[in-house]
Amino acid sequence: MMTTVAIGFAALMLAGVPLAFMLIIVTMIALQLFSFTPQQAVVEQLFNSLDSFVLLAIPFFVLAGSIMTKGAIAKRLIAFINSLVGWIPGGLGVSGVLACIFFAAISGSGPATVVAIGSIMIPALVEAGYHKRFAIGLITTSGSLGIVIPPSIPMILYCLVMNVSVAEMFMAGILPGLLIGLSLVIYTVLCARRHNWKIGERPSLAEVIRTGKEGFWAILLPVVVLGGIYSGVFTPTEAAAVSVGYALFVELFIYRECSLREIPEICRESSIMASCLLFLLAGAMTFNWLLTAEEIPAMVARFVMEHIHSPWLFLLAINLLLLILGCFMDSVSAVLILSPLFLDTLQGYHIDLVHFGIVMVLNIEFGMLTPPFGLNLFVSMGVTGEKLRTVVGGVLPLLAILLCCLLLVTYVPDISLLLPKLFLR
Amino acid sequence: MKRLFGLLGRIEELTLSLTFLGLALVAVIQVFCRYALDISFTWFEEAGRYVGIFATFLGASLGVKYATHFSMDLLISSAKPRVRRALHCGIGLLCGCAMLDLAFYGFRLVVRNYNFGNTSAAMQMPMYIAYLPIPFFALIMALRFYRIAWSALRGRLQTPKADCGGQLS
Repeated sequence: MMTTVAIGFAALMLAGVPLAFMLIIVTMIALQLFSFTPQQAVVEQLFNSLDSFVLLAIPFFVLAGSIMTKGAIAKRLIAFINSLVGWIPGGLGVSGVLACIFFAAISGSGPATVVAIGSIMIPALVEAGYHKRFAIGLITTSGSLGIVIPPSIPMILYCLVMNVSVAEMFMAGILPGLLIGLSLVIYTVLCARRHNWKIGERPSLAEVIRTGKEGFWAILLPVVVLGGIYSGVFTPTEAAAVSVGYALFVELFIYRECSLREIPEICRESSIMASCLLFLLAGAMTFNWLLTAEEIPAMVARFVMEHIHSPWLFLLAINLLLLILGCFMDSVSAVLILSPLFLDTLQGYHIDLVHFGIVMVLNIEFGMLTPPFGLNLFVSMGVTGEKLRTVVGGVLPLLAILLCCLLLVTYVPDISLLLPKLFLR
Repeated sequence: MKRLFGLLGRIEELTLSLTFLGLALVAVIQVFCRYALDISFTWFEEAGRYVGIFATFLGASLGVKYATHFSMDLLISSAKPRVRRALHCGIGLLCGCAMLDLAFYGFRLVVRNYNFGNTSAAMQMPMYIAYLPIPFFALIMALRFYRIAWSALRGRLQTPKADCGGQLS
């Protein structure tokens, strides 16, 4: 059965069958040929996979991200951060990275962060004399922090397929996200010093206070969302809903740069995308049900543990596998399909599922920045109107920094686990 | 006929956007009521789950229309036009048949739930209603896939609608 499933899987995927449908078709064929379980079970599995309240956090975060991207929250946020750090060497670049970190803490989406911050920051950086490639590379890479710093849509997906606490995963993402952000800030300052890029004027205290007042509503959002989750005021799904309500309220009644008539149109695109993501999740969970019923994860665990004796080597192999797979398929789908396959192996090696989840999310981040499926690269192309070659050229040096951070997070579990251990366990 | 389909399409899209937006706003009202008025909507979690399933299948069907489902199109996009058309046709037929199969078994499940008279725990809603979106939208997806196959056969290829991209994760 395993051979038929593997061949069917590879053939349909290579032929370009949409992944969600491919997973459903393979499950149906395997049930028809090798099992006495009726096909009706596929319908029940699809229903059961989607029958979860946590799942609604995904469309809500996508909606919130798209409302904030179209509105003025990002603009006010950038103005405030720029007034704080814009005057240090490489200050404008540093503001770009910090704005991405901040936007990441309210949006949960990498591409949304690139659109929101990139459309304002990249032209500003180029105008200030930064190399075009550097500016595009920096913001495209920093934007990918959107999925590492909580809230994060891929983290919710991972939690659903691996049965891990969303609150723990969110907390585990904070330090790795800040580590990557800090590395990008240091790199920017070093580059700015070497190339002697223009330094902005130091703003007056009154200017800082003015931009702070204007950006107050944007700055308050991560406090409301993350504070609400960790203080127990609301669940992650409710937090996502609150961020939609908050973004709507701020954009419609405070900043007033969005009109009520535009809202259904803004929601239309993001709702279709979120539904496709949820449908993929349902397909992946149905396929995982088949794998578990056939004891395939246990077989994989036995095989891996026979050949790889150390958990560290296993993690390295997983990183390599995902980096290679990222060249052939979208990394979110790869993680959704692969993670449950290794569940038994992870338990055998005593690897913490939250730590593994963060490693997976960093791999997704890497996948978002490498062709041919690097979504952030394409979004950045759309924002800047540049060719793929220019965007990839800009991102390439920063991938080395990301790779170092990935290895550090992989081999120092405490970077991810320190905060959950201190506050949640 | 074209205008009717256009109108139905608009209604479909508006329903999807307003469903997710409406769910989010009800969730916000629920949080407010819980803390400010000490009232809890016991039905909301269950309703949210079932409405979420409805919206997912509705959106997945629109995803077929706009080609926004994630796929590995490296090979297909570099293939010669004739091969690409054949692949599109094959994918349309295969996925169409799979969705027709899903619609058939989904319908059987709906009928079974209807006969058993199962109801949900909190709202006491008949469970067949919760299952209904699966066969209904699977059927619509099947029809949309067959349309893709037919278009490919006639030489027209479906390309992703640009404005629906760029929001994933």
